[in-house]
Amino acid sequence: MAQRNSERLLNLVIALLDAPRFLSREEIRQRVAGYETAGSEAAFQRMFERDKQDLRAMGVELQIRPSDPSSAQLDGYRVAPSDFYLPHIHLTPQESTLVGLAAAVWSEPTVAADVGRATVKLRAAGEDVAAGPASFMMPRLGAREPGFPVVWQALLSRTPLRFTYHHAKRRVFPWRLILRSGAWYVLGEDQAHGVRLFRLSRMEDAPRLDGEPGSYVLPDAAIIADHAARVEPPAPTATVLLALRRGAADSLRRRGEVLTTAAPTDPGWLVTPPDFDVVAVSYALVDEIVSAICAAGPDVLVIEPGLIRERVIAHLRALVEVGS
Amino acid sequence: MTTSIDQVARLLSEIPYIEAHPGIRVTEVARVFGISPAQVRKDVSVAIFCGLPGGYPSDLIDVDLDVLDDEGVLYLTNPTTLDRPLRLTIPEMASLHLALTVLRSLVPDDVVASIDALMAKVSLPSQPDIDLRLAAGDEAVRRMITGAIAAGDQVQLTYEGRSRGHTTHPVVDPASVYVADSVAYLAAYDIAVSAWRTYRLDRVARVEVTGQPSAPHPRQPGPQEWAQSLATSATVTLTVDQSAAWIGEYYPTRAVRPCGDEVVVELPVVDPVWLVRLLLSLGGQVSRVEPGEYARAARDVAADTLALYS
Repeated sequence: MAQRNSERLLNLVIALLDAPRFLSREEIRQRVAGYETAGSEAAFQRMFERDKQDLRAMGVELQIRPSDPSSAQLDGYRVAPSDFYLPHIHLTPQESTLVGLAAAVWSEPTVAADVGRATVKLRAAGEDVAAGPASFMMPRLGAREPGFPVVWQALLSRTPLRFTYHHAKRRVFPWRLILRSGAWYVLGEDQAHGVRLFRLSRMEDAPRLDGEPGSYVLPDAAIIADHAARVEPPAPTATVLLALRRGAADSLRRRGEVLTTAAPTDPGWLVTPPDFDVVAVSYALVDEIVSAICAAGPDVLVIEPGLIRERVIAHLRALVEVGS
Repeated sequence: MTTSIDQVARLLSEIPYIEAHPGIRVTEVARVFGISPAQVRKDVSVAIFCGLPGGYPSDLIDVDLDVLDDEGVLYLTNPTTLDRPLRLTIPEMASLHLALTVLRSLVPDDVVASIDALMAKVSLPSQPDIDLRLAAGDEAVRRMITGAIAAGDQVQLTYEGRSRGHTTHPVVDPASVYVADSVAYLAAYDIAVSAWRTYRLDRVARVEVTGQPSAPHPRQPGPQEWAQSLATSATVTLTVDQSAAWIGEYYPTRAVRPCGDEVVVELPVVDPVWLVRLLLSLGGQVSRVEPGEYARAARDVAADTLALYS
């Protein structure tokens, strides 16, 4: 059965690709080997409808026009060669090696299969892809989130998605998949709640397709970029002056700017120790900078403002109580 | 998924490939297409029943079955216009584009130019609907490292290790660059300690070539060794406020469960210094730490820090 399906589908592709004009359903039924097994008109129509879907799923684009040019009835089918073939491509040996390397990048199985098919087509286009790419490069890109393949498919085919998030059932038009710090997000238009950013690991059920491919178009790139910006850390709005122990507290040092190796001011309450640098670090969120300062322990002292200094002291005192 | 869709989609590439390589071995076709030799034979047995409408033998795809059976090689005659593969589909283009983008972010300059040329040649459209960023650090650092690996040069790193909070200057023989969970790492042999070490590229501040050649060293560990060290390490159980529940998603965990208004998170502890820093950053968001020794260690550091303000 599977073999017969494959034969009929392949014969259909060849017939539609070689057709000098648009073929009617009746012509297809008579000319393409395989349809003779359909016992009735209805059985043939069902078979042909499914075959059309299968061809589209493979990426074969069908053109539909009247089979009789003098009629307006859209009953003729053809595959235009200009839509069908991979363009003539000649890859250099180095480019072939890169294609081989690219084939190994994705470890997420669905996407790995996509890139594998692309690689095979480029190979079949004539050039042999070298098998041994530079072995010191091992970039691997994955997605641990189980919903990833469905979101990927929905986005690329412009199909609405349905899933539960934050206790609410949602129908979303995906706009952009975003990978940040190892986590995948999808930005999209939630039909009931507007544009939202969803973290795939927080979806509360398995996302599924809900609608036809091509159900929506993406908005302007500037609009998407504007909404996508919320995945980035907020821009700093304030500055804290810190004393950092030399050779330590690198993560704060990298964020900041070393002003001088001596204390610029005399805050009165604190003598900057000799092996400390004074560094100005900008931040957006008070909680975030307080956590970052506390994580560095005795390698950091807050010089000013007093508000941050008080928050750091309170934060550390709370921890002393937990440990007692 | 071994449906007719997969098989026919593959045949649309396989038929022109076999035709363009007369006498190719079945095993070689299997390798190129990533399928078994038995599947190649099944594909061929579909192809020989297909061809131009009309049904005359000369209209059908023909394979020399005698040499296929005797010698395992393929000769295919194809009267149809299937002489080039089907163009790339949208998911194929998107996945290839992203894979090349990841490579592009790691390789030396001359290879970047090749990747750009390849993307133009294959007419890969840019992918405004997918945006991935790797924690791969400074571009100049990255390219110096991959360049040094390719040239076989030993290098000295300026490295800011997070768990210690201190800068080190290891002299290493760099071996490979890999990406795991969107973070890029250098695997290199540390000369001073005579051991393999892994360095996050985004914490390498500087790279200098020492002038010495890089030497081969035995037994380079793979990325799975980190997972191995996680599996065998001690466990800490933290009870935290909802506002700190993010640690359950951010770090590898052994278990996460709600407990009243709070969340209980079990974490593997590879490096106790790392855990103390985590506890310091959480402050009063933690209500309980098991075993208590970790809480006492964090308390001591907090008390030392408070002493500086008094």
